[in-house]
Amino acid sequence: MNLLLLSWKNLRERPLHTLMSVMLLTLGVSIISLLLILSQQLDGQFKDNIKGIDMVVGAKGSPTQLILSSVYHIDNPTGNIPLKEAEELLKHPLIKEGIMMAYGDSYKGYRILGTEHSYVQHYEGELAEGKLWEEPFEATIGAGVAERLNLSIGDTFYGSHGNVETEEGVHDEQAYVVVGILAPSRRVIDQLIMTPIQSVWDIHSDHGHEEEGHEEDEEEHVDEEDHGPEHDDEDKEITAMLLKWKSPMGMMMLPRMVDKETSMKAALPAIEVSRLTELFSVGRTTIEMIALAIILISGISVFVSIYSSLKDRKYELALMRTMGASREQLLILVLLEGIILGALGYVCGILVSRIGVSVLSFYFEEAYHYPLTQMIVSIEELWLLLAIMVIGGLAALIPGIRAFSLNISQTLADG
Amino acid sequence: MRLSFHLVDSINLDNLYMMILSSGLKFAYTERQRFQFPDITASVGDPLLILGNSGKGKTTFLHLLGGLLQAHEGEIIINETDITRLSIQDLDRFRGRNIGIIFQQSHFVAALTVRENLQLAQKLSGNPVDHDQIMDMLARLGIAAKSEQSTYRLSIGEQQRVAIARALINRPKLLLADEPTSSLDDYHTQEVINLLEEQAHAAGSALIIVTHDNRLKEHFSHSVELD
Repeated sequence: MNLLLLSWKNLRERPLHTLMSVMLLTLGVSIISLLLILSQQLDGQFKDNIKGIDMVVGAKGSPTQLILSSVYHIDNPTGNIPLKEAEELLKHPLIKEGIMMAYGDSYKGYRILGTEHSYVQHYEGELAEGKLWEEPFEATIGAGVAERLNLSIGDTFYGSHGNVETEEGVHDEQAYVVVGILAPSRRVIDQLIMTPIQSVWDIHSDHGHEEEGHEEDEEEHVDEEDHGPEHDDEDKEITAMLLKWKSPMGMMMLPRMVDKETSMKAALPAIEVSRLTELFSVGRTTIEMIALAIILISGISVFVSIYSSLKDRKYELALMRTMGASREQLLILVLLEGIILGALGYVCGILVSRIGVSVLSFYFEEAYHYPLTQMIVSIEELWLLLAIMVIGGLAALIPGIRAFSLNISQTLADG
Repeated sequence: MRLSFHLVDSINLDNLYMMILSSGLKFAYTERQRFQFPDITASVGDPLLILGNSGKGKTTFLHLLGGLLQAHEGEIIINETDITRLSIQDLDRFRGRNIGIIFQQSHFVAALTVRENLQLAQKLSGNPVDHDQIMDMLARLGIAAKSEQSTYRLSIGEQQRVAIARALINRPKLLLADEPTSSLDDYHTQEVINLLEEQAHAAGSALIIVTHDNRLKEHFSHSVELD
C-alpha cells in the first residue's frame, strides 16, 4: 500500500470529481497537442517543399496563388506563360537553373504534371520501381498516388481535364502508362503524377486549345486554333517555372525585372510562406489562448476537487499520522492526487489528439492530398506532459500544505 | 477472566521489563486552560485505567501519551525513550512503531478495505507488509471474513474490532484506548475489555484505557483519577 496507490484509491473514491477534472485536462491537452502537430506538419510541409526554390515564375496573378499552385499543388494555376519567355529568362546570368512545369489534367484528383527529370532530383525523389518517364504519355507516379489509387507498373489511365474529375472532361484518346513509382519522400512529389511536358502539349493540341487557367484570353484561343494541331515552339506554353539564383543578387534584380519586362509574374516562396504563416498565426494564437484558459480552469477544478475532499478526509489524514505517517508523506499523498489527475488528463488528451489527427488526416488527404501523420509523442508534447503534471501538483499544493500542517490532536478531538 | 495475565511464560523478557511511565506532565491550551497530570506507570500484563469526567483533560492526556501533542513540561518514557524530547519527524516514526491508539469512534481510510487499512498501518510504521500477520490478526478478532470489505459496510462492533486489529498490527509497546466502552451495555463492555486485555497481552503491549466509564473500575486493579 504505497502512497501512489493510496492517492489513486482516494481519487477513485470520488469518481465524479475525478472525471470532471480529467475531462477538462483532456480537452486542454488535446487542443494544444493538435495545434502542435498541425503547425509542425504544416510548417514542415511548407518549409520542406520550398527548399532550394528561390523564385517561381508563372502567369500574372496572385503571387500566393502562384506559390500554392506550382510549389504545393493545392490551388489552381494562375494561367500559362509562353515557353519562349521562360527559356529566355533561363539565359539570364543571375539564374542558375530552372525547372519547367506544365499542368493540364488530373487523374482521380491527383495532378498530372508535365515536367523535367530535374524536378524529381530537386525533391530528392528515388525510384522504388521502374524508371522515370522518357516518352510522352509515360508517367512516373508518387508513392502516395500509387498507394491510394492502387496503380502499378504497366497500368494505364486517362487524364481528365482540370483538377476535378468530370465525365465530360476525360481525355480518352490517349492513355498514360505507368513506367515508374517513386519511393515515399514526404514531399509534394508523393502526390503527383509526372510525365514529359510533351504529353501535356500533345493532349491539348489534339483537343484544340484547352490549356488550364482561368485568365484565358479569347483572342489567344482563336489564334491558337488557327495554327492547328501542329504546334511550333513559338506558341508552346508552360504553367510555371521553379528557379534557383546564382547569387543573392538575384533577389534584388530578378523579381522586378520579370514583373516589369515580361508577361510573367515572379513570386518568392519564402515571402509567400511567411505571409501565409502570419495569416495562420492569428487564428493559432486565439486557439492557443482558449487552450490555456481551459488548462487554467482544469487546474482550478483539480484544486477544488482535492480541497473539498480534504475537508472530509481531515480525520483520515490525522489518523494516518497516528499510524506513523510523517507530515511530508501526507503532503506527497495530496500532491500525488494532483499529479495523477494531470497525468491521466495528459494521456487521454494525447489519445484524443491522435484520433483527431487521424480524422483530420482523412479530410486533408481528400482535399489536398497531404496526409498528416503523427503517432509518436514529440519533444514539445513531452514538455507538455511536464507542464501538466506541474499544474496538477500546483493545484494540489495548497491542500497539500494544509495536510502537512494539520493539527492532529485538534482534528482527532473534534472527531 | 484475568487468568491469561498470569501466564508469565508467554511473555518475553523484553516485555516483562517494558514500562510506560509519565512524570510531572503539564500542558496548557491557554493561560486559563491548564492541565497538570498525575504520574502514571503501566506495563505488559498490568493495564492502567485513567478515569475522569468531561473537561478533566482525558483526551489531552491521551494525546500527550500518544505523542499527538507535545507536553510543555514533564516526561513520558516509553520503552526507555523520552518521547517529549523527540523531534516531530522522530516522533512520527516512534508513534508508528511503538504506539497503537483506539479512538472512541472508529475511523478508517474510506477508500481502502479492511485488509488494506491494516496494510497501510504496517506500511506507515515502516514495517514490511506481512499478509499472513494481517490475516492472523483479523482471525484472532473474529473478522477474517470481512477482510475484503469496505470499512464503512461493517457494524459498529466490527469496526471497533478492526480498529483494535489496526492498533495492534505493529505490536506496539503501548496500546491506548479512548472511551472504548462508553456506548456499550454491560455485557458488551465486559466483552470489549476482555478482548482488549487479551489482544494487548498477546501483542506484548502495555494497555492504558482512558474513560469516564466508572463501570470499568471494578475490572482493573490499577487506576488513576483525573481531577
